[in-house]
Amino acid sequence: MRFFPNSLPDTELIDGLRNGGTNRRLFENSLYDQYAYLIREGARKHRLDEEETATAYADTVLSVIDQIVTGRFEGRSGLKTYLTQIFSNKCVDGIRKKSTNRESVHQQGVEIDGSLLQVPDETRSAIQQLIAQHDAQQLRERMKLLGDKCRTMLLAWAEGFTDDDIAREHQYNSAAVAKTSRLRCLDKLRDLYRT
Amino acid sequence: MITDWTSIDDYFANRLTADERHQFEATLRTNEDLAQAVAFYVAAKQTLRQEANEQRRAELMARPVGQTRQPWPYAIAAAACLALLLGIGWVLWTPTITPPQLADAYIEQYLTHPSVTMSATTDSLQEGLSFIEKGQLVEADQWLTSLLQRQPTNSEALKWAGIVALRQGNYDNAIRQFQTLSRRTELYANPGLFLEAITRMKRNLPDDKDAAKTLLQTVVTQNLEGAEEASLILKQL
Repeated sequence: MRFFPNSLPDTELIDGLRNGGTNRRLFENSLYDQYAYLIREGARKHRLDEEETATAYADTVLSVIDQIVTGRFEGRSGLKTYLTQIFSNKCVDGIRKKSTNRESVHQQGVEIDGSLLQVPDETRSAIQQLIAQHDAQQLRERMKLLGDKCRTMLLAWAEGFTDDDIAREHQYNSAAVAKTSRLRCLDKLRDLYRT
Repeated sequence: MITDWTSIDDYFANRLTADERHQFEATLRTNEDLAQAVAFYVAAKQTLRQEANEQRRAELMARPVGQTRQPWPYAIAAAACLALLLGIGWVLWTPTITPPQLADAYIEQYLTHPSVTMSATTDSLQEGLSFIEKGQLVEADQWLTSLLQRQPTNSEALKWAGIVALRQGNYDNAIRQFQTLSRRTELYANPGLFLEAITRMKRNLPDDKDAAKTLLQTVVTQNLEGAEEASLILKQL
């Protein structure tokens, strides 16, 4: 007997993911499980092995979660349609990589995400250049030097968990205290990165 | 120079007023230190997100893959058979899920593998949790008891000590631990009442079911830790 239902309606999944908190993980798992049959279907349809298809599926689910949590998923289509489309595109990418032998090499730089779009045009390119100078691999190495608490707090923040969620998980008295601790950890990471 | 991470964080989280925003952007145009800090903020967040995604991807891929979807004719036939069986079953026997079964399902899913949460606590607690993860409950009990002697206010240790007692079948002890936990009013999130309800469902003495219901209703009405699960359980209890 499973405690959490295997199949949840879209609205419940979306609300569960957006509400955050420790329950968000349950809804993430539920979303993953709900359409996991696509892995075998994708492998058969696109003639990829199951490992590659499973990776594409997991990446798809993570991408959908990110879009739901950040509000970029507007619900114009059903979750299943949306997820299937992204998954199909990722499988096609997998085929393309195989056929052209263009596996992505390990990336040294930092990818630039959409958050920079809110920076005014005249400053954005300068910031982009500064970001490009950062070494992602070195940042990852320095993250390992942070304490467990700092690292998990920063990872949760990057995943879109709110300071309120972080306060609950780490038993801080308030979101404001969690925010102060999180920013202190970021400062510590920067110090480590500079050394 | 001390970096004003709060302003940077508030800027990207859209928490600044229009005036503060303009002021921030004006400073950003001319202040090299601020520009460097903003670049680090964005680069670090992006790299952290990739790292988190990699961890989460590995966790998701480790989940057992469900059954493939059945082709339509088989699915229809299976559904017809199931409906028939359910119809017969409904007439002959109304299935009920007992409180201990519900508690077992919850314990198995949520209280057996502490590492699946995004927990990050003290090393000592992590050591105790790793015993639980490995199913070494006696060692976990000793470790957490010792930790609580040194840190009697460690609520996370108290919670897991109660869970270990619950899983060992020491229900009275578990209830005592959870009651101690639920009296801690200063905690931001307190699962004490909810876990006491689970323990009573598992123990299943004559008054336990009613007591568990009352506890779960309190958890739901006061929106305490576990409210969502409590409302699911109440529907089945």
